[in-house]
Amino acid sequence: MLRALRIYGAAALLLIFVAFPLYWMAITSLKPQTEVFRVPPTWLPERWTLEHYVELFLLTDFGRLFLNSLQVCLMSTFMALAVGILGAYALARLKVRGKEAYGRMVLLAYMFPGALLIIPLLLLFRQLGLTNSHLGLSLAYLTFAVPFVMWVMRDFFASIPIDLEEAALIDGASRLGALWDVVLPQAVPGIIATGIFAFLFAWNEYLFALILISDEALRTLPPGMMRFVSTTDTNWGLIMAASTLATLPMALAFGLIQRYLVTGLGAGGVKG
Amino acid sequence: MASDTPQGAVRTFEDGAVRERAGAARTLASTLLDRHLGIILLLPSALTFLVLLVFPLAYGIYTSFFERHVLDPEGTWVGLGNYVWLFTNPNFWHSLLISTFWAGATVGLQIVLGTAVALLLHQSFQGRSLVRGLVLFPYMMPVVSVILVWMLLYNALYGVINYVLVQTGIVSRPIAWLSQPDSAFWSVVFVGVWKYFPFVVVIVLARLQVIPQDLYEAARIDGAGPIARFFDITLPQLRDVLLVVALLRTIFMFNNFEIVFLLTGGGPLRATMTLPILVYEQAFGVYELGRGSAIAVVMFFILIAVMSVYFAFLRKEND
Amino acid sequence: MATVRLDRLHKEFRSIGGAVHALRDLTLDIADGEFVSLVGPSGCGKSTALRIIAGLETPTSGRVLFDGQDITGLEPRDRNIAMVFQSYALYPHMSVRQNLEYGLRKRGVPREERERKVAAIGAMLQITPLFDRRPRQLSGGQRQRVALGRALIRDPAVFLLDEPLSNLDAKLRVHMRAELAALHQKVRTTMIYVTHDQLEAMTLSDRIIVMNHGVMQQVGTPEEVYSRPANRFVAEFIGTPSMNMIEGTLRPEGGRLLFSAPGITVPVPPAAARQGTTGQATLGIRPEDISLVPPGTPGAIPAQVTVSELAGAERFHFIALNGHSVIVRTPAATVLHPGETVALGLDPERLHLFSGAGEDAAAIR
Repeated sequence: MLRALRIYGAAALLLIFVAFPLYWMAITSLKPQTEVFRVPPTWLPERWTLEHYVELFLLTDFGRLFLNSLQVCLMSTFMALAVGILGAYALARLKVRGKEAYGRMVLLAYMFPGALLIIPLLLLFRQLGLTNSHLGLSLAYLTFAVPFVMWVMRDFFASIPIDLEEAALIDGASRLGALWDVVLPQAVPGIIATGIFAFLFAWNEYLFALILISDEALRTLPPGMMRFVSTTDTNWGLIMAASTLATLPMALAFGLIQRYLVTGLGAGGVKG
Repeated sequence: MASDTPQGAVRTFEDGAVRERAGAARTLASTLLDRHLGIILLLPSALTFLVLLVFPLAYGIYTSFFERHVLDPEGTWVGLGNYVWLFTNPNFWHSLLISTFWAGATVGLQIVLGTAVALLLHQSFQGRSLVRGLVLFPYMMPVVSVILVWMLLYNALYGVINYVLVQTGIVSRPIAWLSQPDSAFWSVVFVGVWKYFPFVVVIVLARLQVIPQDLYEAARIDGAGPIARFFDITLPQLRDVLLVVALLRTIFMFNNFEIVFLLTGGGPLRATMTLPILVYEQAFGVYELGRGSAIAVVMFFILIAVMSVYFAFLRKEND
Repeated sequence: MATVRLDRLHKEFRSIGGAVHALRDLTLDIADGEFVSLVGPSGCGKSTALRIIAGLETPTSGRVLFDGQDITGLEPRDRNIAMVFQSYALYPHMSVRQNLEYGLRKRGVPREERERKVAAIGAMLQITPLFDRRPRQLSGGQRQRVALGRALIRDPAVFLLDEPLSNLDAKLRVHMRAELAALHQKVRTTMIYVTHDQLEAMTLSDRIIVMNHGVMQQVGTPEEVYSRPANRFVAEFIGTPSMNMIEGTLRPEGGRLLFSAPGITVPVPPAAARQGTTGQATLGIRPEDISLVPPGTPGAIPAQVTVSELAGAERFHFIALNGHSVIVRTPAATVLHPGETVALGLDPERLHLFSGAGEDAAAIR
């Protein structure tokens, strides 16, 4: 009994710690402007309102920022999956000289700080005309997305019984055929989970987005949202509405893949 | 002998042999593909790394030997000048120290809190799976949303944290958490822990679930209480995974730019000026690309050093 | 349908501590339609040999020939083989029907023909009702049949089986063993079977290849391998319980050759004696070749019973014989008590002698 009390007590504390900021974000976005600044604060809105959401789409460029982010993140995620899955399969299964060293390099690449790459990338992209370009930004995101996909999918491929591929080879498939017919269908959950993480990292990224894109029309969510803090006279209701909407896609995606979370986080999946 | 149909069916395959032989010609090209498939599949990623990582890294190192700024966009060779400037500049050593403290504090707290929460969520209780799901929220929440909501919570005038602390009498008047040097560092650390501890929870929880139950039963029979069981079984079993997580998280927190930069911009009075922010300040604040690159190169060598510890550890594990 | 020839196959795996020899100079001829088993403890090279025949591994040196044609460099798909895996390796995302069809599809067999063959295999293995299920919805025995069907459907030249029965429970294993034997009778394809279970090898095979440490120890019919083991390793590996081994010396005495160990002296049969080997030697005798004789019988060896075990229709007696321990197999009706003194008679025709004491000690015949 005492034990149960302790557990529920601890779980309640944990819930407050984890969920209160989320709750506060959502609830603030639903309060009218005057109520947001009130002290003492109201724990539930006295008057529920969607005015901030309306404002967000009518008076700010949030909609465009959101779509820009979506475009960049989807592009980089699909490119990273295509490139990374092939490489991961080779690392997991095929005979390549020096692949251990290559695998280690991949992990190292995954750890590369953005601050280390941003200066040369900016100089390089200027030369190539890739600044102020969604393609350019999504290419920059490949610097962490490809190593991430390779690192996680390599482990995932390694966990699929090799017998299946061998059976396919004997049944008459080529190596590529075995990958396509037998391995990839097994890997679908892992691919989805990995893709969602790659998307999340891109969705979060701030530095590259800030430096590589200066054109207002092309700006993505993270730098765009940070500008609300100064440009809108700190309208917290509006900002919290934007924060809530930016969180929504990730919440949905994570709900879908909860079962496979460990796959995405596991092994090297530790990008902050 | 072939009285039953299956027999006949299996036997009709004589023509299969012919088809096999025809297949031999077809496969010449695809055999080559099979032989070199490994290299072929690695090629796209190798190209990506070459263009987007190796070349920029080399170019970054190259740039670090130049003085390069708005007035001199082509740059002037200064040899090790930027490094001399760096190592004689107290701001660099200050930032190195701040970065180390920041990484150490956030990782240490993430590990302790993450492990404790994992142990809690390993117990069975009503609503456990709901809590398990919710715990992940900070990790999946976009960094910018996290920053904005904590800015609101920390707000000196109408922030909830101040309200609660004043009401409960813990502090006498509201604190400007993010704009005083002594409180800013720990306020930022708190957000770093809040955002990333779920990662530790997931990894540790996964490891906890594969500790064989009979170890605990054996310990129980040997008379070990709950505390002894934790120290004698759980902790040793978690040791390796905790070491790896700590190492990798240290690298990421050390390199983390967004959390600190967006909350404080490195201030107040450089109290939270970590190395990545120093790079940013040099490169995009004062447009000293050479100096910024030199700091980035130093960060790269720190990364290499920590990673070689990690690989040495992995090698030891595999033996 | 094909003959298989393995020509001085050699396989090394390079590792940090140097090279590991998985297979040394394996040469073997397998006749068309023959059922041969590769048997030995784990790590003996039997699976490596099978995987080289399948094309899943490349030998370090040596050749594989089907019907006299060198196929060593060919990819698995160009070899016209089929294989049943220990794990069955059924494609989890495909139905039973799709599993069966996959190989035909990959070889461009037209649809009507595929359907005909799938139907025929389904009827033969009685798996037609399972066609629309996924592998995970099948029992172990059903999976086994589907795996067999997937291999059979292509009418391969050579049929490879890698421990196909070891994932089944004991009862089902005996049943499937019988089915497998019947199947081979029916299709008469060359079959190469890998197992660590000597009983499976004995009951199924035309010939058995016993392997140890990558080296072929003996090739022969089950009869030959059982009754005329080439060396001490084969003698101990084949047969349950194992052959009793007593280490001692061979020495000439009074014009005869005698084997002697503490408390035991046995005359060597004339045929073996003609080789004139002397010195260290091992005497082997199977548990069923030791009989209990009335005390005082000439040549009988006195000994004490340690333990008796009832194993259904028969009994195994563990008997201490001057510091040696031997197992004697008798009908269940023969009851002995621990501590009891008995007299043992060894059938001189059924003694095995090996020159030396190591597991590679060769038989003296």
